[in-house]
Amino acid sequence: MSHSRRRFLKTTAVAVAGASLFDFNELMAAPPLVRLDVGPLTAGSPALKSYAKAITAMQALPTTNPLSWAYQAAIHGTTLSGSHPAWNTCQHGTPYFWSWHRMYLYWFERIIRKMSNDPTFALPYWNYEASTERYLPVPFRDAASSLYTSHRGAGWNAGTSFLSSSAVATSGFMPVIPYFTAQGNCEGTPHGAVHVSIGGWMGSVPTAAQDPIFYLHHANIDRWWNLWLKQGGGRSNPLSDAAWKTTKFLFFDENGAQQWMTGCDVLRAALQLNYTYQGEGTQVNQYCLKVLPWWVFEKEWLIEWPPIKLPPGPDPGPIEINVREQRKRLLTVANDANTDVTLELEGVEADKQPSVFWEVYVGLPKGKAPSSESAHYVGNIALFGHGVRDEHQHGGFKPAEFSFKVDRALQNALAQDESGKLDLTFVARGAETKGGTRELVRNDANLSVGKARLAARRLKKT
Amino acid sequence: MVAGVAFAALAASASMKTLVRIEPLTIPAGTTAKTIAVDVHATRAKILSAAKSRQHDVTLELDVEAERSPEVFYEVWLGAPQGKRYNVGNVALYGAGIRSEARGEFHPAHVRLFVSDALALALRHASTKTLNVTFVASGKSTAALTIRKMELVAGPRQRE
Repeated sequence: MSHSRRRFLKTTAVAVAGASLFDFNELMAAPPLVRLDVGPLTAGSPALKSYAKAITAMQALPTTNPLSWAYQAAIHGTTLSGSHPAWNTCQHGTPYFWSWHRMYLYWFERIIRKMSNDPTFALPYWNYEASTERYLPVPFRDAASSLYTSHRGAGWNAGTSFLSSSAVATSGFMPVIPYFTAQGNCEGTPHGAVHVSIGGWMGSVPTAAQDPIFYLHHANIDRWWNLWLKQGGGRSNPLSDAAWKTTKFLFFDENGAQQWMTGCDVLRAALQLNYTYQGEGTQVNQYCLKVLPWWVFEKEWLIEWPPIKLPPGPDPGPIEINVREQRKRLLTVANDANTDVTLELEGVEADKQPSVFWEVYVGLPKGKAPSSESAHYVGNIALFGHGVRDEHQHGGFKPAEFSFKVDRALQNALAQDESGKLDLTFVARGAETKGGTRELVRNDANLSVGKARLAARRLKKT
Repeated sequence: MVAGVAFAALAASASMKTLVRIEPLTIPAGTTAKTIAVDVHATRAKILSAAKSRQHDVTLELDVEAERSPEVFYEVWLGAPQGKRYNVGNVALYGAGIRSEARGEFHPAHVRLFVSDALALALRHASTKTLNVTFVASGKSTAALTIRKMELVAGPRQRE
């Protein structure tokens, strides 16, 4: 097993921030494989040669074999009668569209590796948003290739049909912040629009996954999930949705063994599933907290900021606290692999629905522009449906509470600043873009935070 | 059992307000374009105000279904009868909303299109009394598309 030093250090840094929550297998994983843009590839490119070879081998297997082409396609959907494990389990119009298809491609890709005898195989993606890639990729139009099927709409195999710009538009979901709305809109366009545009097998769920181009289309949809998330601005996977995180789906590995997966298993493509996309850059890594009962933990309150008021108008600037006396203790817990340090915000309320949300930073260096990609960014305060005084409707008003994991931010803050000060910074966001210029966003509500405290949480010693 | 398309996260919340309800319609197979005229004489100012608000998004919420796949998607355009039309997205049925492909209980597909910018332009003239909603098929449809429910809704802003 090989791994680069850079990757090891990068993943180690993440693990130190909260090793009790993470999978150490991620540390030892091989460097991720790169899913390539199919545009520049030819039939002789290694990825497409291996893909074609595997398809031929899979098509020779009986339908009842989980590694067969027919069985793999039937996991998505099939017109075949009979019932076999995992058949017809694709997720459309449900909370699991992005996550289920990521799982499906992951196990499919492993099977292709085995069936092609190419351990380096990574599924290419069809980057049809590029105006140069609107036609079906040429190797898929060669009738002599296993990448070909005649079951496509008119003109696709002849190279005369192409995807319209409205079919591949991403403007319906990329600017959208809530996960399920963004996912739902992506499912419509480009996902659904591309399916029905190609037509034939691709146009219908029970037949779509028999067309080899299906998997490249879905690799692109999967890539868009990463790119959507990477925009930041409050975008997040639905980590507070227990059903999304824990609902199990069945697949088969390259040995034909059943494998179950959940949303928590597919949050970090490179670290958990060992792939990235060409040109994608750094992926956003999100984590499911292990669900353990509260009584197995002990909590230590570390420091507390004074009550915080954010009146309407410009951001008030950092809220400073002197931690000179606690600095050593803070460093110890921030670097303790068995302890999670959290920022606990309690009694969070606004007098009316704010038109903004707030990014929260711990230890943001003075003069440094806030960015959600910064190591000091810990999460967002977004009040909607709770914590807003003039909107409470169901059973009386309740202030909101937030808990953000801050180990990494604290480590950085204490390493960079020995003055003994620790800043808590709130940055109002929700900018609109007008003519390409990001406008200044101002809070229009009175926000107050009753308590802002740092806590250390660790498993009780038994 | 996995929830159907109308899962809670996409259901209209209490803080979403319906601005206009538009009559259900069916677009027959083979139709290339279908326009419906929505009377906004009494509601134009309210729609425009919500469309221009930075705190809100106006969305066109549609519950859509077909017996079989229409084998096309529909571009959706908004505009005043005499003015320019603005594309606000697509209705593409695949996997959800197709009765013949349903597994278990059938649900229409829910489509949410963000239309604030298009409405702000389409309704900018005080004399505008009608809003045209046009569905343009991307090819020759082979099955009818039924829009069970169509509403313009204002809710908290969801976009950057």
